[in-house]
Amino acid sequence: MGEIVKMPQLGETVTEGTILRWLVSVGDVVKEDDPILEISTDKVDTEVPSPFAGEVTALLVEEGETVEVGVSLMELGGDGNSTSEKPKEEAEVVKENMSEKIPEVKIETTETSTQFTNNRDQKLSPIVRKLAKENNINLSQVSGTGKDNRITRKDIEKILDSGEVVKPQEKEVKNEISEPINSEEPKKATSGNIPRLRKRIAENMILSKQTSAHVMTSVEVDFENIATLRNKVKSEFKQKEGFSLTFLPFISVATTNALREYPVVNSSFDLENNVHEYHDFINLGIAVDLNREGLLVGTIKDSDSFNLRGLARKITEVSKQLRGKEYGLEDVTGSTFTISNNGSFNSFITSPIINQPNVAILSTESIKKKPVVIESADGSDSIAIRNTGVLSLTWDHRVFDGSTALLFLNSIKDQLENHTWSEDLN
Amino acid sequence: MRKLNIRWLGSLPYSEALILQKGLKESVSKEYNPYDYLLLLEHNNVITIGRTGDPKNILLDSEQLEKKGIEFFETDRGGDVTFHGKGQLIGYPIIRLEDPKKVIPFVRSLETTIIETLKSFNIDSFSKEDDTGVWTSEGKIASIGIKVSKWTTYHGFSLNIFDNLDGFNLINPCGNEDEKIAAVQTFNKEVSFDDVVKKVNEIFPVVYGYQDTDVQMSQFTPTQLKKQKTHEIDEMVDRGVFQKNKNIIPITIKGLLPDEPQRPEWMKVKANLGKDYRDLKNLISEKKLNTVCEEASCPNIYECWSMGTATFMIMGDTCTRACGFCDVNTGKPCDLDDLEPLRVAESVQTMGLTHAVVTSVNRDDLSDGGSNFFAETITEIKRVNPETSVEVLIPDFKGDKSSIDNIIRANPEVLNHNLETVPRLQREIRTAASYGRSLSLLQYAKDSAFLGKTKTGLIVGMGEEFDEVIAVLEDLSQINVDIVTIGQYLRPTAKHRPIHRYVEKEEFSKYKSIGESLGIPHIESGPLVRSSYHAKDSFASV
Repeated sequence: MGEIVKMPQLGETVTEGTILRWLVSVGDVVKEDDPILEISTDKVDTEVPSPFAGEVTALLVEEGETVEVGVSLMELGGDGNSTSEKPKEEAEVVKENMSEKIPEVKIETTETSTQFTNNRDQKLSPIVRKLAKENNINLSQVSGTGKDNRITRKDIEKILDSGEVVKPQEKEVKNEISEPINSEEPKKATSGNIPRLRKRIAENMILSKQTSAHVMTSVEVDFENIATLRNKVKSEFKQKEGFSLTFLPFISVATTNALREYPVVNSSFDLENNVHEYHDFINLGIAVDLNREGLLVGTIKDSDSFNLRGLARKITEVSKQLRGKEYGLEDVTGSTFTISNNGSFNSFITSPIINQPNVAILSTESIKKKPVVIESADGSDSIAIRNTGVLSLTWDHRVFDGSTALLFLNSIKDQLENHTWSEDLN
Repeated sequence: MRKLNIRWLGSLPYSEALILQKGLKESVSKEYNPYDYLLLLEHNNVITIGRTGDPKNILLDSEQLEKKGIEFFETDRGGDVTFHGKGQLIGYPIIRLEDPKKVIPFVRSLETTIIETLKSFNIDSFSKEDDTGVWTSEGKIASIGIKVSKWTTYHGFSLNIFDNLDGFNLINPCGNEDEKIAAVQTFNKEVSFDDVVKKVNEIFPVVYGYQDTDVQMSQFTPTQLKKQKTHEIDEMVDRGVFQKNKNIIPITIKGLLPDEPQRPEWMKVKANLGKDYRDLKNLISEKKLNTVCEEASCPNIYECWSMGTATFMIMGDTCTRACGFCDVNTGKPCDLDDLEPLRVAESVQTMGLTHAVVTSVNRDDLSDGGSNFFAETITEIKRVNPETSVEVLIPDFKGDKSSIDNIIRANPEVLNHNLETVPRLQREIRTAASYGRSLSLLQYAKDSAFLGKTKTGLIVGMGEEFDEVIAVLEDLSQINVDIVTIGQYLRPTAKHRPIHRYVEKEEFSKYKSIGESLGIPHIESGPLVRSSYHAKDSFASV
């Protein structure tokens, strides 16, 4: 099914624009926000970004053509890695983005200056008001030829050309500072103003809170052994792999092993349909921050088939793909358990929201040096400086209980603290 | 409501300004970016034509233009042909409109801004219903050409200030043969360039409704400050006839110039002339190499050399520029030594460096600014030490793209170009450089095929304010610089610029935390930080 891109309105009074050039041709696959054509109005060249992703199936106007606001410009097919799931929602967006409703909305917007107070109730463009005022034309005597009998600029000009009124020689100087573009009052948030990604995130978050019985449990982990190893191999690793070795791959490997040990944590739970599904594969989801423009969970298929180095590579690859918006639907769906790395933003403890239909989500918190009491073999205590960090697990109390959550967390903790990781790097 | 950052950049060539605009546009267009920008500047002689323009409106051919020293650009804005030159204020608003319906109102507000600015100088002007721009009784005074991409504006307006803009005779402005050109000084000779800039700074945010505005101004050149001169003595002052003799060495008391603060305890370093230090010193002199550690009297030399790292300075020890803060000699530089790249590469090998840092003096005497020699050094280091990452600290090459391309092609892992200071102090401190040019260079690297990280450095304590440093960090975050270093200025000799203040450690920490919260991936900030201090770790962290 196709989507239609329409001629946007570049100002309340603007009724048309000239197609300067097409930046895409039929058969091209465009992403959301890719520039698709340039319109020329006045002394402004405007690139129009694609409101959705898809394959260009038809260009409906020629370069050089001047077309009215709202005219269909281009047809997009539904393919091309569309990031949107519901065509219905897209149709809404078209309507909102393309400002179809504009003629009907109230007029006190940017250009409506207060100096023309008469005829305020009439839906008239500022130019019409201005021309009428300058030429002493009584608007109630003019019959409009525009939509809903609106008086258009042409109607006024016709009267002026007919010589019924005297046209002043020079135009009046614009004296008043027109109302600011960025008006001082807080912006009214309409649904069209929420970016689509944000909207989807919002819906998913609320859905999850309404579905699961969230409980958060956390353990403190001593990362000293891993920190030591990491410092030792850090520069060589970066040199060889082209990216830094972080703590996340270690935690991911330990988590994968723990999921194998406690398969209930790696399951999906559908109370409504009476289905509890244990997955025979482990697909780790890694939450990736899109430079604060949103959050996506990248899926690492069959995470248990990778060793430490492999998983590190995979994590880097997935986050790069997501940030570069070069991903398909399969890269962001199908995870069976999610890790959210809040430590990279210096968190202490986080209580994340479960990524449905998972039943738990792990938050890795910042790893910092702390004084820790160490008990030596002979039973004597000493204080040492150790790299420690918290692991928080939000889990669904509908599916299992605290004992499972803690056994699972402690399995991860035990591996991180006691496993000989150096062998995993080879 | 977003914040408007206004930057008066002084004189900047058209192509460099365009790179900067496009870079900022990409950042500003992002949904959660809190900043809009207004760049104010002056171009050299240049003729530009919009995509809808007719080349017939340029009355000379390209050869004649070149002879007259006029650049020509086909550009992607709306509108026809126009001329920019000295004595004309250029304004580039980079503003996210969000809503298509704001496009035309944005242009109208631009006209209003100019009309109101002129009105404050008692000049009557008007806009036209059927055309875009601003006119006076004497002719057209301002032109407008806008591009909107991702619902974010760039390109902008030009407002004629001086009335000797002969370049307009070479074109039919905006495609109109009969167009007369007017300027601010057509009406009022007393109004100078800086008067107009300051007025635009006031009026633009009011017209567009910004509550939160930050203005950073580069210094004005004497011509920009000059009112219409009536007495010969004014000309003599401008030419520097009465300037003080710069060769007098100022007197210091206990090592301090008048009004200089005492050196605090934290600025003192321990000399460590241990074996590692001496080994490195021997290697450097044996290989006949220069290091910026020695030439610039770096306080960290003992620490770095004892750890076996050093920053090589190639193409001699004599620089063609005389910046007010730098201890490297100024003078006529030596010939290039063809074997120097190899010797640097061998030293990197001997020292076992995994991350090598190379800088150079400015070589404005060479046609390529020394960029080919620089590139060869990078290539040579990589050939001899395939595992070693290379960081280069480069001059601005006077904005020459092909020189910068030479460096980028050699593929260094880190490309460092120092801003040194805030916009206001640029002209005093970096004589031949400019803030806008350096930002444009860092942005250019990001645009091109360069795969490595960009890096820049600031020296504080030279008279800048806290807020000015934050403004610079904001600008750097907008052009996606990866690494920033911030350190305390130390006066090398009594002939150099006095120390204004010693910045406290807490302030350095603030620069780091604020800068990183703006999205700059790594900031090395501390009293003793220099641009290649902890270079290896900084690189490893991004």
